[in-house]
Amino acid sequence: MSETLPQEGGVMLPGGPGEAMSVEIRDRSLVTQEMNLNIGPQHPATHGVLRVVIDLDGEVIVRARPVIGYMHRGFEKLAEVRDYRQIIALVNRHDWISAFCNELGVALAVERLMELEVPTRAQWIRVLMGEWNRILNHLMFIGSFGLELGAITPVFFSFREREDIQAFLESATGGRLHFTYCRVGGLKEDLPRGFLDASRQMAQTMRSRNDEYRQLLLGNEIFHARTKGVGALAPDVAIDYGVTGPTLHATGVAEDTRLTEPYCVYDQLDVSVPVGTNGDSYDRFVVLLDRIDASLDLIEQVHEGLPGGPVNLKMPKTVKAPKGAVYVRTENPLGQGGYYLVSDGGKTPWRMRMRTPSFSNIQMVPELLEGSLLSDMIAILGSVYFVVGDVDR
Amino acid sequence: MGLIDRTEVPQPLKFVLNWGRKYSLWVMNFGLACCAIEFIATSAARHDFMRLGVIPFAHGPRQADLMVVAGTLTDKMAPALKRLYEQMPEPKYVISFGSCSNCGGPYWDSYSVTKGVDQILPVDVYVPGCPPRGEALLDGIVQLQKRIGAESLKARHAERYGPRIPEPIVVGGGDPTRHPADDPM
Amino acid sequence: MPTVRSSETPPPATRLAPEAIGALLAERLPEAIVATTVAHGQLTVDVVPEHLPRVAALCKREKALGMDFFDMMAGVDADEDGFSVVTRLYSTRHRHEVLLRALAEGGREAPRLPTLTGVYRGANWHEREAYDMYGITFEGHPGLEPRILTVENFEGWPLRKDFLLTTREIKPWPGEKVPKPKEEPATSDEAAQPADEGPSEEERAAAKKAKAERAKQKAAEMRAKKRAQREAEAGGGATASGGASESGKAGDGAGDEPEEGGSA
Repeated sequence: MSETLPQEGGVMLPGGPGEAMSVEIRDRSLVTQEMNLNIGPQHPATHGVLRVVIDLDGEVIVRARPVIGYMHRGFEKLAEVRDYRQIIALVNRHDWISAFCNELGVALAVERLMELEVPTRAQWIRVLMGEWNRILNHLMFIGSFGLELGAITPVFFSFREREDIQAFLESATGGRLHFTYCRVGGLKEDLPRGFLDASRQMAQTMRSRNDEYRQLLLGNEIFHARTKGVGALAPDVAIDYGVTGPTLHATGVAEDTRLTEPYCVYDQLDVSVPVGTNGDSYDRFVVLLDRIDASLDLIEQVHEGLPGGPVNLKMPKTVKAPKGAVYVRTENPLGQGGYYLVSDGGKTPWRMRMRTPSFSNIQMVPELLEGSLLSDMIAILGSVYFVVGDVDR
Repeated sequence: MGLIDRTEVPQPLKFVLNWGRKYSLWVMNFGLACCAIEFIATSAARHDFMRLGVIPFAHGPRQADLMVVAGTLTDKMAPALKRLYEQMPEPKYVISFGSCSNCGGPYWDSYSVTKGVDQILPVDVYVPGCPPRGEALLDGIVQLQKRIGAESLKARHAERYGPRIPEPIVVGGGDPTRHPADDPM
Repeated sequence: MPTVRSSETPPPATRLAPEAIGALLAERLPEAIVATTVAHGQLTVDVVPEHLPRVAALCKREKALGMDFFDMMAGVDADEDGFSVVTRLYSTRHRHEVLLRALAEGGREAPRLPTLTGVYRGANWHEREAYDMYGITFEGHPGLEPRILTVENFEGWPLRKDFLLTTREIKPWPGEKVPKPKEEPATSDEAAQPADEGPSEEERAAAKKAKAERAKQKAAEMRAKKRAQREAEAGGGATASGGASESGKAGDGAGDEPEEGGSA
């Protein structure tokens, strides 16, 4: 049994605020019998219906095996029997807290295949909506991560802001969670009167609120103790697994589609991507907070530069993409979203493959869990940001 | 429960018992998909269903009176839902929150989605919407509380384990027995 | 935390054009490359299936290519040819990409491909998914079973075109039978107005009325057209030909405007 214990380095234990302590298990007479533990699919520790089967040696996780598919709804098959408008309504729903970014990817893929040039105003509004949606998404995780570590206040704070943001997004889109605002060739309609004022106001409020979160969570010693040095991810491992988004950025790699392959009008904006250094839970969380500020910067740039003009191309009633295949990637809040669209020239796609960030992120999770303590599992799972619907589609 | 299930409790006592039950509904959030986010939003400060006595801190199904199934139920998940429901003590209530758990919703033609939780457990309140707003859930809770307030546990027990299932409540009206598949073509 | 700004990270000079990558691959592994195509600015390389891991390894290890990032793998139903698998590789250093397409051997009965898990760890779950959805066996994969997404005792391969959605077979898309009035897509001058200084209330009301009028007229037109079409269709007795063309059939259900001649 002793072979299963970590041989070198030992187990990382938090030693206090700001420092991690390494504890080596020397006494081999204290070896325990391995225990198999099933967590999930319905368990508060896995936020969502993720199931993780782990083998434990005492408190140390020896093996971890995520079991997915509990939220598999067959999007890719359903996309083959729905026309392009209906797909936009459906694609909202797999990653349920980044609805706009998902629908944008599908619209971009179809537009690229049809070689459409979308009006500039529509592209700017798409950036605006996408960035607000990114903030909405990150607020959710800021709240839930606090909750998972035992702090109940952050979730109430973050939902206060979510409600405010949703309120004015609803005025433009008609939806609180699923916006369905994108269309192939533009947007559903122009922004309503007063939207930009509300957006400006909220951007200002949001900045001060973000500082509040910082004080609330980063000013907490327990938070530091539970996250620093926990679940450190190496950049090369992350890239090998295809990990993207804040989880990748925390390792110091600034691979962000908005930087490396700008879509919409991101090439005309000054995009900043916060990166971490250690790749641990703490860095992942701080990157998330910083990303809110970065998104607010972008939103303010859109407020400044938003041009006038139409928001829609004149499109035929039934959209038919020409024969061919195209891969479009977007920077979704949780990482890189990829849309591989194969069309046979009909009203429905022949194949719609969706590459979702959470799928790759969860695939990497055993790397982080194995060798760490059971009690750190929640800090790791909570900071490898994923949405179960985005894993399973 | 024993005695209460079998004997008709006299009115004043029944009123007190029901009053106590309806304002302390410990809820188990069976959060599955998008609707779970709206459920959390409803529990947060803006809508705050705790003011109605709905307490979202049940440690598990064994401590819960009410289960809110929020989101798409897949065939893979269905056995777990059934199992958790059976762990809940009587009297227990189920709110089906959102179109997916009502009937499959936008995934009505999917190969892996259970078309409605009512296929595997009895539902007391249907809340339609995709996802429904928090107000709709609040309405469902208030209507459920009204029903609990007027309920005879003996009758409920007989209904649950007898041939007749209690008529469900549908938030916003509508015919709960109607299924889109039954529509004339 | 430090930040990286877009102004500080211009595209690297080592970034290769799609054509250059195709030429490089064809030069280094001529026996493994069937064809290279560039469409919509993207390179798709058709690879001999048995050499797929070699090509992927070359993409990863060759300095000029440096494709360290395993992005995704997509099975595609290739009709009578069987199934093909498209793998996208990307270089985080050079920011170029390639789509490798390999047609699985064994036709529709027993499609199989060599695994990429030896080259990229990220390929593991993507291959399991391709197995789950299409039944493509990846030789050398550490464990394709149990099925990753569908329920354990699931029968059939859901993303194959011959896998029919029973719910749709029983009942076509219910949205189709309600002839709802359709509005014109917003014309360019209508949408041109900036949001913050919209038209006045009276103008809005007038525009709304006119729009409603137009919609009503349009709806009546549509209804008449549809009725005529339906009658014509009923007379012809057109039915879908064969179950294999699921997408064609579903296309009918999906749109609100039936095409001439159905999916036959």
